[in-house]
Amino acid sequence: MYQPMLFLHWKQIRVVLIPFVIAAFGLPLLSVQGLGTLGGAVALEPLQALQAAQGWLAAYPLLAAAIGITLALSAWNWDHQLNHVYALSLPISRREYAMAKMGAGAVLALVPVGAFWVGALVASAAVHLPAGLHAYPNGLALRFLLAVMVSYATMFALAAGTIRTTLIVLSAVLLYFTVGGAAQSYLGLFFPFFQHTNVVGDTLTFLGRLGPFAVFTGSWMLIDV
Amino acid sequence: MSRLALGCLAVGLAVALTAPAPVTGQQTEQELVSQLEALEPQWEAAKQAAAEAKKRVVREREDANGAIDTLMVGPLRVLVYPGQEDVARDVVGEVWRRDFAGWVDRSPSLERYAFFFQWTAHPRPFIPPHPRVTPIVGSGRDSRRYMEAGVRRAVAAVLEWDLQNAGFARWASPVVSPAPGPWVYRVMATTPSVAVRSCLAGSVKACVSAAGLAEDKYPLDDWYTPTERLRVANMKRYAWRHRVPDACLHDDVKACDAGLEASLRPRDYAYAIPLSTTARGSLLWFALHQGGSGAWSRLLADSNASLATALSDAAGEPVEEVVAKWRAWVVGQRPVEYAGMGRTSGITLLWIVLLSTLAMRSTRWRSG
Repeated sequence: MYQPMLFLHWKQIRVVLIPFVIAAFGLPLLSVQGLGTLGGAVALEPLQALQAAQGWLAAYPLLAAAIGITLALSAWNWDHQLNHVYALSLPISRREYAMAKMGAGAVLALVPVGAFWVGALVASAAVHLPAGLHAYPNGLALRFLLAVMVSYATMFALAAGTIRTTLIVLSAVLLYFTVGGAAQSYLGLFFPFFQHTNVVGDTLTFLGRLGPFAVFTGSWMLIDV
Repeated sequence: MSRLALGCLAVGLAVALTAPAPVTGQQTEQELVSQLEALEPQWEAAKQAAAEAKKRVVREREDANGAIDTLMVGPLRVLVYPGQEDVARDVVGEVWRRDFAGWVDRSPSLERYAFFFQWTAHPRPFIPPHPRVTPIVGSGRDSRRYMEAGVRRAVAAVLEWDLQNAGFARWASPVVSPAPGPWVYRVMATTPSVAVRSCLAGSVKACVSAAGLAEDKYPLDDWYTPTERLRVANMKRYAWRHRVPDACLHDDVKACDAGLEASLRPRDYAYAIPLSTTARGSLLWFALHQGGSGAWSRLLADSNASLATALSDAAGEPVEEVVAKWRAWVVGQRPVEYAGMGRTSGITLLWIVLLSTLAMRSTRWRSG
């Protein structure tokens, strides 16, 4: 069951993956642009080198999230379009079907991640770094892989359910973060506990440390001290 | 009101000087002295009126604030609204014990200044009764860490007043609110200076020189390569009071050197010293902690002491030893990139498994 699923998903996503693969390979190269080549004439001061590299920081997690979300949505696309008739006609359980589908998407995610890793290695090898700075292509590639996977898993889980369930979950999360602060202020009038805590802020801190998106909050530096 | 009193005094002076017979060249010194003495009561009255007005403003502001309690947390005088005593004692006390009590024994500024502390979801307005009250205010949404950082900043800012007369005040400002160790390492690793690089590589002598603590005070050649001098002078040229000569813009190293040397004049900010103010502040903070009890008093004991002597006195050991220990500490603080990836990977994998399980548990097929 797994191989047909992988083939089906590949057929659907391959054209969409091309720009992602190009972007993933090119982004590390872009971020070291201007830092000088091996034996080249231009070698920037460490501070300038870091500043140049930092300009591209936001692009890494955004690209990872975009790849994960696109893969997840494309995984369930044909099921939603055909009202799950194909899936129901198969002699397997829902669990097996979802697992095969999930595995297929995860394997396909390795294509842009691999391109990113190669790009990071090439970029690191191509620049002449000032003393005191180091390149971290492997660490960055691992972070990129995890970010792609967690975005993929989150969107896969949401897309697996009905649109109604998805809307309920997303609305509840949005409501919590938008109205939570005001509700806390109101509760603070009656309960001193709420005067010295920041429920929404603490939730965000928790999610940043132990939540699904913890991988997005760390360092994304290809070049650092 | 004090403006009014001063205005009256000015008018009085003008009247007294012009109303009598026009001053002539023949007016004797004796007459001028007696005229000045005649103004003394008016001067005293004006001073008294100004003082009264000042007291009245303080009273009015205190009335506007309502009842305020005063607590002593160590040597810190803390003003709070009723109901905030416990939280103020807790937060301010912890910061004081952790960050300052070990080395601040006596501070003239802390005796003069007070702190207003308020941390509640419903803050009440507060008008400082006089300028020597530093407010530390947080709403219910602010975390304890935020409040502690506010206390630390406020105490540090007051302590810095003690340094106003010290010869090294500009050398290490801000002194008492240092940057975290990893940040200091990052700043040093990205400083375009051969001396700082040697310092990080292990040379204590280079550290002492890069910090501007060496006896041959400002050895530009040891600090920077010619290329670095060009770059540093051009980077900083707008920050300096004494501008770097224009020729420096056109790769004239001598012109850049002139600009760098100009920044090292006694009353200037010594930007040319390779070790940044962030790193120097960290060094002084480290020396104070090393010195322990009484370090702050020893630092301030001689306002004419050289940098090296003041640092050594504060730390209670030779400056080379303090710098060596500080260097080792900074190197130990090097941020290890992707250090937490093992833990992050574990957390992320757990979430991926959880989310996958949720995807497989969907009831869509069963509900048809």
